[in-house]
Amino acid sequence: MSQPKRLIIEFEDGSKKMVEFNQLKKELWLGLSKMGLCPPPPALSELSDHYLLLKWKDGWQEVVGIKKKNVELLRYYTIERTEEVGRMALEVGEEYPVLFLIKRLPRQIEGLWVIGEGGERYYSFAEGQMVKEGGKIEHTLYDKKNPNLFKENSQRAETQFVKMMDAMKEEIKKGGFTPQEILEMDLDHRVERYKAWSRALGVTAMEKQEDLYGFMQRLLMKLGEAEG
Amino acid sequence: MVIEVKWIGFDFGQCLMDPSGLRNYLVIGDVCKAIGEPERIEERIHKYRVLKEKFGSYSIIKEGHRDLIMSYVFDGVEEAKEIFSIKEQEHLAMGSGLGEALHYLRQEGIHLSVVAELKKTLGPMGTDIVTRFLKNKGLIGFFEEMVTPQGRIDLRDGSIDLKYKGKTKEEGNLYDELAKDLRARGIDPTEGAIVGDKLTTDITPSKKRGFKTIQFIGYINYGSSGDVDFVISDFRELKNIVKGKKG
Repeated sequence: MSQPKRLIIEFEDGSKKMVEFNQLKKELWLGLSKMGLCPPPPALSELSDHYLLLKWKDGWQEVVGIKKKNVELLRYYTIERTEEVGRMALEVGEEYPVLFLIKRLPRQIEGLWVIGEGGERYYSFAEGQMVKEGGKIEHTLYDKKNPNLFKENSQRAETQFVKMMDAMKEEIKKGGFTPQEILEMDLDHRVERYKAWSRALGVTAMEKQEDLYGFMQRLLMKLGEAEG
Repeated sequence: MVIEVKWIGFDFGQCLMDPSGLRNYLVIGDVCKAIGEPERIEERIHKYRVLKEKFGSYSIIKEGHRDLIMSYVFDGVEEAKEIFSIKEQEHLAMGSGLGEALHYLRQEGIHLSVVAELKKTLGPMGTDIVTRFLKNKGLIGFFEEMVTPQGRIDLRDGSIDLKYKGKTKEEGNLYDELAKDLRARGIDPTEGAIVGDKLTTDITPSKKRGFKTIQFIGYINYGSSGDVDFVISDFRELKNIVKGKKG
């Protein structure tokens, strides 16, 4: 495959925009190459102005490039602190589970709702087990494989879900549209509403804003189904 | 040993207010999520850390370069400004045992003040970080005044006395003014105590003016000094060392 020169984007109305390939971010270039559209980016595309070589006591060495003309060390320090991170594993009917890392106050999560094509599921969390292993402390708030310790008590989470759905119904009523009418609107108008409702309900996206709009649409679809 | 006092002044940062909960992922992360940009959390936390390297500490950024948090970290997103202040307050905690200790001290008839190194110009109550914190945590009723290098604010009527302006704890002239004010109210500095964490601003200069000194090490321990009368790591310990002085 010869070297790509530019990326051309063609719009529905026939207009086009283009960008030189060497101006693309490495990640985008790599993504396009993974799709088989071009060879991967060159092994060395641009020389950095400076490079740092870090040497460890055990002999390990690493290099990092800096695209800045003047470089001088200001300070180097380490921070030692106990960080608590949640690990949420989900069975997804495949060989491996899906794993999420929860960074925001992980031990204060009180419940989880799963909402989607497979229906709804509710899980209430409570600290059930603490295990110390060396310098690590593991607090388990739910474990499907340990039913004696974590008897599923989904009632609290389900009650909260019903409350949220009621609040959403109220928000929809204010606009004077039915769920179905909103679902038939163009994306920009729907997103405008999803933004407003998510603020009213106090829901934010954990990683991607798109997930929040998708969640609001799922709730809307559910309300639409309920209203027949 | 128990001391009898008529007045106690509390330092604010890392004393009344415990910033342990102010983790970047919580504050910057929550703001990014609230403005609909969760994808930019890591990038903005990195920028905030870069600011810290430039100025030396997060408190210096917040007190003297707050505008940069908005322009550099949040790219001038106007909405982020108010949300940042709200989230910052939400994640601030009270020093350990503070509520119980303040109830006790008021029962003992001791007058309570906040003595803080506030660098930002004082506005109406609730617009600066200290009074906002006191209001949010339901503590404002315990304190009569807040003394700062920007002026003394009467927490009961919101009036501001500017004779403290430009005077600092570190130079000690703020304590000179305070001692004068207390004497005018019939309280000698020896009948007053300062509770704080920093030797250079809370302990040594106040001790030189005759105040009793109580070092709070519940958040950070800056070491010992001969100017320290008592050391506490939980405010409830004040119940064992302080009594109200009658008359």
